[in-house]
Amino acid sequence: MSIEIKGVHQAFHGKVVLDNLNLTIEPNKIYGLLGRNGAGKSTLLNIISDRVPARSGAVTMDGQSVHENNAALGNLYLMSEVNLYPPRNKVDQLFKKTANFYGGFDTAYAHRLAGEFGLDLNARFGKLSTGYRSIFKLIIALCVPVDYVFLDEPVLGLDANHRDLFYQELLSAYGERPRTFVISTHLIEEVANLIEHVFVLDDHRIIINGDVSDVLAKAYAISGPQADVDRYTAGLNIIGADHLAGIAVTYVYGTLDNSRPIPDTVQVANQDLQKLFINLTNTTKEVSTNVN
Amino acid sequence: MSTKLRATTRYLFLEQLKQLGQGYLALLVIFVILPLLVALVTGNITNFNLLKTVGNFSLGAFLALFLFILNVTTYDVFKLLIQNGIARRTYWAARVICLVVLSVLGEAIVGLYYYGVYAPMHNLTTQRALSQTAYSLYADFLGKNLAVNLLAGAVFSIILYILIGTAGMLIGSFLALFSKWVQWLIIIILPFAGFSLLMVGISNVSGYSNYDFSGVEAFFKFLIGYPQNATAGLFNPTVPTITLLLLSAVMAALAYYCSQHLKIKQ
Repeated sequence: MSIEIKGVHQAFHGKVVLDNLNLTIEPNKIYGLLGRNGAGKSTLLNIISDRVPARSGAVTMDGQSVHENNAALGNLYLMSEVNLYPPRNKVDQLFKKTANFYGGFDTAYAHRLAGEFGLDLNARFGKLSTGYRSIFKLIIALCVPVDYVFLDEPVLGLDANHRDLFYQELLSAYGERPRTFVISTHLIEEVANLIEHVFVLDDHRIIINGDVSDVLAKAYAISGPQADVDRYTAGLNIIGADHLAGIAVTYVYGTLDNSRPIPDTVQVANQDLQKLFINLTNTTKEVSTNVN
Repeated sequence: MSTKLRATTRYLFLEQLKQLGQGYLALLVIFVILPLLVALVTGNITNFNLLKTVGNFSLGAFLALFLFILNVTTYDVFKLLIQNGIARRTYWAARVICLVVLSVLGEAIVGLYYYGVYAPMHNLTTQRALSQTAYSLYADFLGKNLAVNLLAGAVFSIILYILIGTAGMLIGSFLALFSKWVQWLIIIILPFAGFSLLMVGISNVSGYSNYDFSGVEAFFKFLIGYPQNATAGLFNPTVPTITLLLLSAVMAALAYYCSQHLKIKQ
């Protein structure tokens, strides 16, 4: 049981937004979907949830097309920045409406979470601040009985305390009932320890698709005097460089040359996910041909 | 009926029923309570006739307008439903079911008011009152049995409401495909363009004094069920009823086609 995205291509007003995308989203995993602004993350999530039909290609769940498929659409939930709820409805009314459409909505848990986040059940959705709208949608995302939850900028407008509370609740909910979460965010450091698998979308294509541990195992930061670093990294897949007080740091993605001895003046460390992302998406043209 | 269709239909129906109730309440406030209050404040209460006011409502016209507006509203409901995992096809099917049920229910309310309140207050017999409805041309076609005529009149009205509702559904689904700006453009330009075309057509035709309209006339007579030398009340409702049903089906099908292309606007 998985979601398959095959050859999805999308363009708006003649501008390509997604270019022949192929992905598999497996059950009971936490994914990170990373990409710069305009990379096509939200469009991809909108296509998966059938909010926007793909121009070409297909999205399937268990081999069945998601398009116009109540069973598939009822087994996924997309929490996005766009507000699709009626602004005049009260929070508790919207919980009831969600329960009507998604049978098995955990209302008790929703009320408990609303209490923890300080969300007023009698407040009208349209009157909520950006942060509380996000909280409202996050609560629904955690309480709907679906196997696939997509979170597009889930912590938009949330303060640090609420973000921390959300991450705790996400892990707790996942622990109690494993399901798939796909988190699309710009706050990479905050989710780096949550996600198991990462997709990096750049220039409308997937340039990284792998388990976080495998991806980071190939992401190196090689530092030392410029000449020594240059000599050691010659011919490797260099994705970026920094210079700090006479020390050069060169970022490499891919396997190192094991036959090449590491000079005493050179240090080899692993990059973190955010640094890797920045380097990869800063050097799109050079990297995209080498990283897959 | 699938679980999702049942849930969607139930949701839409309860919402629409609530809106219909609010509409009737608004009618009562605007046409009864406010004039009553004004009469009280201005000291003209002796000139205010509550029974006359209550007996002059056009609930049928109100229901038709309500069903049209209700079905024009498409995008806001679509947003909520797609957020909750409901397919476009299910939304369309639920709307059609709700339209039929609400037309029947609405006609029952209209009928009760019209024959129970309006007709007695205007000293009309039930058959005479029937002759003043949209069914007037066919009111005596099925004979003298009042119950049969009333039932036929009600069915005819229900089909008319369904036609008006599906027309609203088609317009709403079509407009929902465009941005707000383009929607306004269409709303302003289309009627103007249609009117202009009509004027051009009329002016062209009027130049040909010997143009034979008998074919058009015969076609319209056929559509309204006009038999040779028949008087109003004895027209045949079969063709108009079938025509209305066919038009409703075509509009519902076109609305389905448009709704298949609905998407969340960025």
